[in-house]
Amino acid sequence: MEYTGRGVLGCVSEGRIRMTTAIETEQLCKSYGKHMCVKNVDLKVPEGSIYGFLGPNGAGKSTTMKMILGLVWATRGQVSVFGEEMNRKNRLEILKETGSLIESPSYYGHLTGRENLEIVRMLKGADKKEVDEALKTVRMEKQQNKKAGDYSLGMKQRLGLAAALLGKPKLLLLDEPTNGLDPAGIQEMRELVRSLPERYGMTVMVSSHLLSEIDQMATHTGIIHKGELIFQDSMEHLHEHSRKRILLRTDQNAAALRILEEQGCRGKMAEDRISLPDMEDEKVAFCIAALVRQKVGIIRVEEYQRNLEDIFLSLTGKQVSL
Amino acid sequence: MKNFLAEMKKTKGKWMWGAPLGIFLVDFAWLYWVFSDLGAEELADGYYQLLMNLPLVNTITLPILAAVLASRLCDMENKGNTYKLLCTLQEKGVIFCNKFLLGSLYIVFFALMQLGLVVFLGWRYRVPQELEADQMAYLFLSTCATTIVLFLLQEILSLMMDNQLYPLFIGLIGTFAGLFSWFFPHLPLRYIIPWGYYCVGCTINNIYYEETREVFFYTIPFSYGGLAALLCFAAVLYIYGRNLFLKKEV
Repeated sequence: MEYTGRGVLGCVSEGRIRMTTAIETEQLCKSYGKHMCVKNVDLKVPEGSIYGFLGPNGAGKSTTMKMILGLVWATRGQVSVFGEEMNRKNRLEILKETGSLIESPSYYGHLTGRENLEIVRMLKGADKKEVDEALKTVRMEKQQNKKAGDYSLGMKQRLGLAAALLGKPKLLLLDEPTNGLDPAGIQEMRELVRSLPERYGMTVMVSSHLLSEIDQMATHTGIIHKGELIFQDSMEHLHEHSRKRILLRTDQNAAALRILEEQGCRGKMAEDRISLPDMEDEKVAFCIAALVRQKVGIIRVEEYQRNLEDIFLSLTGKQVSL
Repeated sequence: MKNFLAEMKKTKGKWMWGAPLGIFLVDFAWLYWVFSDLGAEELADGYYQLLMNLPLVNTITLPILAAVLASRLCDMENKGNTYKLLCTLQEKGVIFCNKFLLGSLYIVFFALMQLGLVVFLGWRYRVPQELEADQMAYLFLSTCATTIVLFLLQEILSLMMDNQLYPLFIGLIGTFAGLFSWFFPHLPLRYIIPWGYYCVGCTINNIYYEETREVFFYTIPFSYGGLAALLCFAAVLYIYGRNLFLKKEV
């Protein structure tokens, strides 16, 4: 199991740019009776990032996001949003800078899309023209006067996103926003989410149980499994785990490892093979020749690249929904 | 104020006034029918007849009105999964309070319409009796207080239960218990259940003389003790219900 806080503890490895955190949780725990569904989670969501919160179903993603919004109170631990520690008194003040779409979209079925947004606008104290802007952003101008109860799930999700965008929040929390959408809807939602930091300077935290989705959307990721945060870093760093390696199987692995080290090629044992960093073809040929000269029998040479699914599985340690 | 206005906006197209209007028409039809059978002698006590009949009708109809209003105000939140959104925009206690205020407003309007009905029927049937302002005030006070308390009870049930049939069913059972309390004046039932307070708040009574087959109407003092007990119950219920709602996770 691998856990790393490197890169996002206030400093992103990418470009070594110092960034502040939009969300920071400290030893966040939630238990229902004896069942601990979130365990000591230390999230660090850098400002301006799209933070993909990844985990299989029932891992504790929604509960964690609800705790960040103060919808569920933590059994233990702290939540800070833009550096301010959240408590019952300042919760709404802090959430003024936040938009959210948790689990299924919230709407009044007997009202039109526009009327739904008007209610949220009133409660947020946002400007009237923001309703039009939000409708335009989610491309719902034509359907704005239809009753929300008659919308498809995709439309309801977009209405939920439009409501979350009202008041121009600095932070957006989206819990599985592509759930139930058709492929076209998923792509549209993904593009929309991806455009938000650039268009509005928002920080977006988006949860999903689909690795491919997070891979295509997020700049940073946190992987939660059985309530524990098992990985947290930039996507770039996660991709580094998937770099190519050369796997070598010989009839004398220990001797081969020593010979290769003498040739300036450092490897390590991986089960019954020697794992070497990726290298040019000429260098591979040179190493093989050196082993053959020392009478080491070469059984197999192969190139191996772990994909993100493999990394995810090795982190979570089991076959999960991807 | 913006929270209350938003609460009002949510009810657009919900025909919230449909239930009060429907029940008002039932009241109207009932009393019109009662009055159309009265002779000139009976009309001499016309206003007392009205002020005694209305609390009885209210015992049957207003618990249903309270249950329907509460269900319509709360069910739209349950159906649309809106608490997750609302609770990031306003305090949970404010949601509870605004629904209570809006429901109470409908009930106050309804009670005022009932007073108008008394005046109208008195005028329509040329009731010779003088309309007593204090008796009208007691009717208004009793109707409002009892129905608002019942609405509060129904609101709590509707907020806590996803299936709105259960609160409606509880309201219906209460209605029967309330009606039962009218016919057993020697039992303390009317003081124990909130549905019985239409009867407790009624300030007109009658005696039927079997020999002469005459009904004699007379006034009784308004039960301020009953009102105080009802208000104490309402205060406890409000605090308990609000806390229950605050504890409910969304």
